[in-house]
Amino acid sequence: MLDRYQFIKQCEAQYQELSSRLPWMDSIRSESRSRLHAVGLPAKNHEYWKYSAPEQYLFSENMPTNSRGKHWRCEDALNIDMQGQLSGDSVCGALPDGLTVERFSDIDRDSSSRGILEQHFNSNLKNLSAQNRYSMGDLNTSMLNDGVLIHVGKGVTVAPLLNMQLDSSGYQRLLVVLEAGSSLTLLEQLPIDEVTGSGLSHLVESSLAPGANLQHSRIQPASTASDYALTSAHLGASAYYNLNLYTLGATNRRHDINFKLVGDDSKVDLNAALYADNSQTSETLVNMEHLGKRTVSQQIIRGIATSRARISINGRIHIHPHAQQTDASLSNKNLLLDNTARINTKPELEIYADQVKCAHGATVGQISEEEIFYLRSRGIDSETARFMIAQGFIRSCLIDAEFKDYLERLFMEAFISWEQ
Amino acid sequence: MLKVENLHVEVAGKIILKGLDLTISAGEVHAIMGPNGSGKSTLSNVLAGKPGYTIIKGSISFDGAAIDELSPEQRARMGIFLAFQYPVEIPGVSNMEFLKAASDSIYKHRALEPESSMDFIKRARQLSALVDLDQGFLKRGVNEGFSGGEKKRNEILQLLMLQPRLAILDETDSGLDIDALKTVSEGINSYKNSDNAVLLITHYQRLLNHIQPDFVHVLADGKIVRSGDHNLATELEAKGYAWLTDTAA
Ligand SMILES: Nc1ncnc2c1ncn2[C@@H]1O[C@H](COP(=O)(O)OP(=O)(O)OP(=O)(O)O)[C@@H](O)[C@H]1O
Ligand SMILES: [Mg+2]
Repeated sequence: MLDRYQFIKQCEAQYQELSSRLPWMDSIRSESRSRLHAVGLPAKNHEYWKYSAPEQYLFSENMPTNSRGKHWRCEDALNIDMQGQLSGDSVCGALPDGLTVERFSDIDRDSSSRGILEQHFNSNLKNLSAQNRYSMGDLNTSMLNDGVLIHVGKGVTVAPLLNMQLDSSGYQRLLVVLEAGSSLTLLEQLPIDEVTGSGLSHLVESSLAPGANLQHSRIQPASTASDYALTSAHLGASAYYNLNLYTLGATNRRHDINFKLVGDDSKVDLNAALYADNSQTSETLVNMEHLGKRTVSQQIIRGIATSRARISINGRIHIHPHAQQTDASLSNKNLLLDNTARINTKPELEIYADQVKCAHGATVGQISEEEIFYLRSRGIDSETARFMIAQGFIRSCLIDAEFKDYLERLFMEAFISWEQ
Repeated sequence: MLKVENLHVEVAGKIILKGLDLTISAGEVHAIMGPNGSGKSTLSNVLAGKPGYTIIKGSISFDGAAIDELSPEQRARMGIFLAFQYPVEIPGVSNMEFLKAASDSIYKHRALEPESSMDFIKRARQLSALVDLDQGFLKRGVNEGFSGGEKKRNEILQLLMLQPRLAILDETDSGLDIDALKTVSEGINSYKNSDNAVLLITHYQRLLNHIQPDFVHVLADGKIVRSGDHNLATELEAKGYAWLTDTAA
């Protein structure tokens, strides 16, 4: 870990080197850099960083890592690596019509992808970055040397699952653009990087045109590294975004999520299962911004912590003045498996429209004695009972039918290996 | 099989059972009736070994041995089963997984090889049909999202799967529709034999039309105030409890 001064010096050096890469990005990078200078790096005294150790997420190099290749692979999916390459075991030899997956650096100056990139790249983030809360986004942009564009054409439904397997650390970027009426199912798998222990800063920016539909799941395996992720999305009228997060603990892990429901009748479903043990920290901050009329958001967040782990959840619902008939809900249930773990949860509501429905609830509890007694009254000993109930709680948070088995294995492995 | 003598029990600083006597032998069906709050569920919980209940006087023995000090799981393995008045939901733990773990622990206690998964599943399917629960319920989380009546039928399914020696059924008939009451009664009757025993806790004569009790007891204010045969239930249905509790007082 670097101190801030060293970090800034190294970033500057890195930044100078980057200027030869992706020249079209130069002005964007430099804008981000100036904003970063103005707003500053995240610091512990900032309201939204008080549970984090911001220094853990500052690293000055793009380091390759040895992913252990344990990613979930599916024969019926389009398996894609972060080079944007389709791997051999995918359902078909080429991408279906209407779907583009391209590395930024492979995009030609005159191609249509270039236009998309210039229109959408950093467009969500630019609006966020006036806030110090999101300055990690500008850090990512100013340090970025490449990324992947996913584009789905107007009215196109991509049937197979797009399975993105992130296998390197450092500064990574995904830009997802769904044109009007299109739909995509995307799975992102973050690296398993216990080998190198290097850091990851991963940004996913999505733009959903009217009527677009994005099913997006992200699996974050256990890691001894520190990683920061920022997911931001902009929804047009009647667009739908379903984000499912399956997050195991990392030494330090933070995820900022920002949804802008701009178009009328747009809708977001967010489900998150967060598990942490062994002094890990896991922090999830959601900012659900309702701007259009009759927009709907539903958040279901589940946290499980044991053995001095710390999970922090900040769920903010922000209903802007014209967002009449908004329907927003947030349910956050958490389970502490022992009394050394901590879970902090803080729902925040900011409501400026008067005809809205807004419900939120957060609980932190321990395994109920009634449940334990129920199992014991059938002959199961109390340790096994505790274990089964904890497993059950974890399992009930894993909802993606398609890779449920994989998720169960992943979570149970972490849980069981820690329990034993 | 079960012998409860002069039982005094305290819960949360309050004495609930105040000198209760009850003897149940193999092959018998006993019914306990009594006003709300008289201590019926407290008795079932104490028999099952629920933590938080202090026996301040008296004793409980099962098959001749004192069980006051045994854990709930030890009692369950010896063959004491409690069908709960309010079964809890355990999300994510499938009914099947739960039942297998329970059954395995009981087999182990009896020094038997656990039943094979195949045989177990087959038996579970047959018995769930018997209590009119669709097989889907075996895969669902324990009682998770079950209706009130489904939870009660699930208790009977567990009873049939685990084949205990003593079945304590705490208001298993409450909240059941007419058909479900019949199904549940049939389940209980099919369980019953000359080696085991049933303790039915109920508020309604109706259940006792389906399951003929050998003894009916009235529990009031922590004590058995009257015992009789099944005619006592009919009498209670007509007269209520006041005449008994008044004479008891
Ligand atoms: N954990 C507890 N803390 C405080 N009081 C308790 C507790 N458990 C039971 N009681 C009290 O003990 C008394 C007997 O309760 P119990 O549940 O045994 O009644 P019951 O006969 O089963 O009634 P019902 O017919 O309504 O089911 C009640 O007054 C109840 O409030
Ligand atoms: Mg009761």
